[in-house]
Amino acid sequence: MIRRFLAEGNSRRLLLLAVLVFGISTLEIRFIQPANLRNVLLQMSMDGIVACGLTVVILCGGLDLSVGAVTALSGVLFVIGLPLGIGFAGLLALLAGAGVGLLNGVLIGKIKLNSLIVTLGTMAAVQGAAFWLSRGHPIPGPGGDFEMLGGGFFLYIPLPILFFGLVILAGHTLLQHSQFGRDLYAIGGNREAARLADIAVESRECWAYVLCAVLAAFSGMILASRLNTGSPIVGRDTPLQAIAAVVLGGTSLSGGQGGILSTVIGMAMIGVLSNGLNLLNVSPAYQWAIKGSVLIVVAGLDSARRHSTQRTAHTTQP
Amino acid sequence: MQVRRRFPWWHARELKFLASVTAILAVLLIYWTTPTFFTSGNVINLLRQVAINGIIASGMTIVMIGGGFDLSVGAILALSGVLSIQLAKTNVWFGMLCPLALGAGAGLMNGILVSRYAINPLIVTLGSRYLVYASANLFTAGFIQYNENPAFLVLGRNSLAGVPAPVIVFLSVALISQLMLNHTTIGAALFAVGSNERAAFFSGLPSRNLLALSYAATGTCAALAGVVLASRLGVAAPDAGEGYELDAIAAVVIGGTSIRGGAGSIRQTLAGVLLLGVLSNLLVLAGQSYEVQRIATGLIIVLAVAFDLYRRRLPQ
Repeated sequence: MIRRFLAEGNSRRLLLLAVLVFGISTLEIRFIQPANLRNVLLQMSMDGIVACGLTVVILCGGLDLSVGAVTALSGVLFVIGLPLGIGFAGLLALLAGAGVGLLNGVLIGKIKLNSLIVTLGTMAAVQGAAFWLSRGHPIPGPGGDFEMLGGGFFLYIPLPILFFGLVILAGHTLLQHSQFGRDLYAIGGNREAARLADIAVESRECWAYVLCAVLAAFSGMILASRLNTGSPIVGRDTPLQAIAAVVLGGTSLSGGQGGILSTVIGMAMIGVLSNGLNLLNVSPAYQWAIKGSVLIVVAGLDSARRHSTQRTAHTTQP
Repeated sequence: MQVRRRFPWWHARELKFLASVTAILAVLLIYWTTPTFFTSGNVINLLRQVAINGIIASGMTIVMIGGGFDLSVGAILALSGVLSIQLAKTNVWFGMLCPLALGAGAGLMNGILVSRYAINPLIVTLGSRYLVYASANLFTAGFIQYNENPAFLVLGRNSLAGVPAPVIVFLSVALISQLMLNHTTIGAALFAVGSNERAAFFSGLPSRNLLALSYAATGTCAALAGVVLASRLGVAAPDAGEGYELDAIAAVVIGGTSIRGGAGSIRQTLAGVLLLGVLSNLLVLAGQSYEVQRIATGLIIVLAVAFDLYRRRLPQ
């Protein structure tokens, strides 16, 4: 039974996460206090929402580097649009995200350009647009109601955590229990086979990018509200952080394997590690070194596992 | 034939002609609108500005022809910059050469992880990016390093017969890479590995070693760019290098080197580097701001890949 438990990628990672939490708690008891655990969740919820969106794109075999730029653009738009009313400003930010996602989706899904290059291009363009709209300055928000989205509570739960939870729930349901989700897995597993099975590959891919960008825009709104600022320079490191979380969770970059729950576990590993190392007074340089090593080691273990299972199936593997 | 019917006038040859005409028109337009562009001072300046990206992009071309990818070049640039300034305090040659060895070592580590352990290059170089930034910060304790040895600045600030030293370094790197790729067995083998690794392996090529070497070459180029940049500026920060990896990838891709490997050349990358450089130079001369440059760069990248795909779908 233990072997069967360990054969499941997610449970292996949950075990690793549990070891991590246990280890850090024994070293520093403050880690396990409820207030701190809530902090951990709060800190990971914004990048987590982005990582959930990115998972959808990676599942169908793509990649989106423009998510960080979209968070910056939507944050700036959210603050700029405020004179028109807070609801309208939010809608504007989300629509801008959807627009960028649609552009990515059309270029990648329909015209079949390489996802890495297209989103590299849109990343530069969207960053430029965010700078242009904000004239290169962070724009201070008005405070008050504006700060509710990032700083508010619902039944003692901070709203960002609640949104993160809702995104996880909705994303998991969408991927595991809907036609759209099954199609995405099929496309990521084998694009040609999916096309022959009469799946609308182009439009499915296109919608995956739209979904990813809208979630990034939503995360940007929460961030702007938490900081009470629309800043064009946020999100520089977001795509790489989010990719790291997705990969740590065990979603394969070649598509077709993984899921939202895996990504949440990956995100939690990063969150627990960052917070724990902060509590333990580890300097940022060592934190980067640890994160980089963990990423490489986990990916290496995955690769070794994949190869050993393949080798039993095909003895000709080089 | 079907494809030809869909694109009646657009034969590959006519496309080439069209591209030449567009280029000539663009030059005339530039001459008419911004005459300062063609002054020798500006051209020298332009070359000096593209030198750093050019050195990195030459290395990136090698790794991408082998089917790989490297996100750690910006971090290697930062590490080699601070290291060179620190070491140049004792000996200039030491300061210029040691970082190169370190860059080659970091690249080799990437290469071994990618080729031996079959980990996705994106993940490996993302992880090593963190590791290298960490070592740069540990080495300097997070402080910016200032140069104390005037002899170290020769590489970045002097010129030979009117050509700035960084440009000479850039052109030499490009020439050596071009010779290596197109006129040696190693280069030919790398193209084979890039287009089909399994086929290359079964043909008896040492595909893993070749891949590892290509990453080492990229790391060395990035380290050289770091030394040149530090020597030009006289200071180096442990957190510099942000964005250099993407600029280099942009230049390589705009040139037309395939992201799937097995195709491309240094010549094309030079065109990409120059195109990006000319674009940003023109926009600065026209008084446009940084944000307009970013938007234009992004659009050019997307247009370039779209055009490349369109060209490849044409009948030859």
